[in-house]
Amino acid sequence: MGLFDERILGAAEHIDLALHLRALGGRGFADPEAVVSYLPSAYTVADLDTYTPRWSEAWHFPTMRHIAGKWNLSPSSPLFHDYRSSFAELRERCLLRTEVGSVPEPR
Amino acid sequence: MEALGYPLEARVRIRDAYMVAASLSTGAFRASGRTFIAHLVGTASIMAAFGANPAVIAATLLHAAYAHGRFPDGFSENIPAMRRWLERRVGGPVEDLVYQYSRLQLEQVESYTPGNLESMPIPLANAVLIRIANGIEDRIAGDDRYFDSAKWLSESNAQIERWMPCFTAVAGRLVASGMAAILRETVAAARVDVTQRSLRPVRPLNYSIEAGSTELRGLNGRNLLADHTHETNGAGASAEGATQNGGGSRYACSINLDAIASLNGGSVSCDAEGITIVADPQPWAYSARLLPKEIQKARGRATIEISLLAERGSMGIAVLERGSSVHHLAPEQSVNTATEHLTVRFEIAAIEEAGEIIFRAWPSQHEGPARVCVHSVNVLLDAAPAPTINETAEARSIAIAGPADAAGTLGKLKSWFLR
Repeated sequence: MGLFDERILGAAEHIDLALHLRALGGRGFADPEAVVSYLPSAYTVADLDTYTPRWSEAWHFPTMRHIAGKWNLSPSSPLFHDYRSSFAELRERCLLRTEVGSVPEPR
Repeated sequence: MEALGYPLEARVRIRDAYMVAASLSTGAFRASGRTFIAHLVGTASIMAAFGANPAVIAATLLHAAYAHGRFPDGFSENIPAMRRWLERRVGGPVEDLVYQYSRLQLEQVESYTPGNLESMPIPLANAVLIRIANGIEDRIAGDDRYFDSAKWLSESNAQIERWMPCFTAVAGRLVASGMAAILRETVAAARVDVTQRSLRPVRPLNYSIEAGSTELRGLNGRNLLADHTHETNGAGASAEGATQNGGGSRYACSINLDAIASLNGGSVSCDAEGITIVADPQPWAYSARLLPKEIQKARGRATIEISLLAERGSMGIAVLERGSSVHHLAPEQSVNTATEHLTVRFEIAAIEEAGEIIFRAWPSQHEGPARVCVHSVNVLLDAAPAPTINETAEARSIAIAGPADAAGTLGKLKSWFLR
C-alpha cells in the first residue's frame, strides 16, 4: 500500500486508507466489540499546538478537495457534507479562535 | 460579526445567546445608567474583536448569568437548576464556560501559571480571557467613574493588578497578548479616575449606591380596586372592574403583587405578610419586575396605575416594551420619601406592546437600605380583554396572581418562565 498520503492533513485519514484498501481489492471488516478512541476527553492548552493547524481551514478544506480528486468522489457526496458541517464542531472542542479576528499586539 | 468573518451559523448561535442574556438581564442597569445588556454586548464585542470561538462569545454574553441573572423565581438557591435551565438554552459547552467563569479564583489560575500552563484546561483559559475583557469593558465604557466609591474602584484596580501576571501568561499563550496590554492601559487610566470626583447621582439614573441591602416590600394581595375607590382621569374605579370614563367603560385588571418577580442578584421571599425582595449589596442598580403575561389578550389604550409609598430611599418605575430590555413605553417616573403616598400613572397607547413593569430601588445615602411599599398595580383598559381561564363572571378582573400561599406563587412564576 505504501506510505500514508501526506497531502491528507488533519482529517479523513481513515477514509483514505479504506478507499485505498478497496482499490487494491482488499476487504474491510469491523469487530463490533472493538472500542477505539483517539481524541482526548478534556483538552488542555498543550493541545492547541496540535489542533490549531489540524482543524484549520488551511488544512481541512484542501484535504477534502484532495480526497475528492484522488478517489474521483463527488464534492456533493454525504462524506464531504458531514466533514463540512462538523468543522465548526471540531474547532469548538479546543475553542479555537476564528481565523480572521485580531487584537493589536502590545507596542 | 459578519465583517469579522464569523459565518452565519456562528452569528445565529450568538444571536440566540444574546436573546437569553437579554431575558436574564431585563430591567437591570449599571450604576452609570447603562443597561446591563450593553455591558454584556460590549464585553462580547471585545472577545469577537480578538477572534474568539463563537461558543466563547456566546458564553461572554452570559458571563454574569450566575452572579446577576434573573432566573426563574425560586432558582436563586439552586445552582444545579440554574445550570440545567441555561444548558437547555445554549448547550453544554457554553454553559460550562459560563460556570467556569463564575467560579474563577486567582488561586486556581495561579496553580497553572507560570510553570504548569500547558496543563490548564482550555475552558478555564478562555474564562480567564473573558475576565480580561470584562475588566476592559468596565473601564473603556466609563462605568468605572460610577462605581460605588473611589475605594471600590481602587480595590477593583488592585484586584486586577494581582491577577495581571496570570492574565499576561494566559493571554500570551493564547496569542492574545494585546488583550492583557489593553487591560493594563485601561486600569492605568482608571487609576487616575480614583483621584477624581466620582459621578454621584442622587436619584434614579443619577444616584449613588452604598454598600448594604436594598429592600423592596410589597403588600401581599392587597387590591385597591376591591377596598378603595380612586380617581383616574376623573373617573372612579370600582371592584367590578367596569368604570365609567367620559361615557365609556374602562375595565380594570388588578395585578396581584404576588407577581413581583425576583430582584436580579437578590432574592425574593413570600409570606402571609407580603413580599420582601432583598438585593445583593453590589454597586449596581437592581430592579424588580412584574410579568403581566396574563394581560396578553388585552388590546388598545390603557392606563397602568401603581400605588406606592417610599419609606426610605427612592424608586424608579418604568414600563418596558414587550420583548425589550431597553425601550420604555412611557417616561420613567420616580418616587422618594418627599413624595409621600402616590399613585403614578402610565398612559399606554397599546397595552399589547407592554412587556414588563420594572422597579428600581436605591438606598438612602444617610438612612440605609431603601424601603418602598407597593400597594397595588392596576391596569385600566378601554376595551374588555378576551376571556382568560382566570376570568370570573362577576368581575372582569384578570388575576395575575397564583395561589395565595408563597410556594404556590413561586410555582406559578416558575411555570411562566418555563413556558
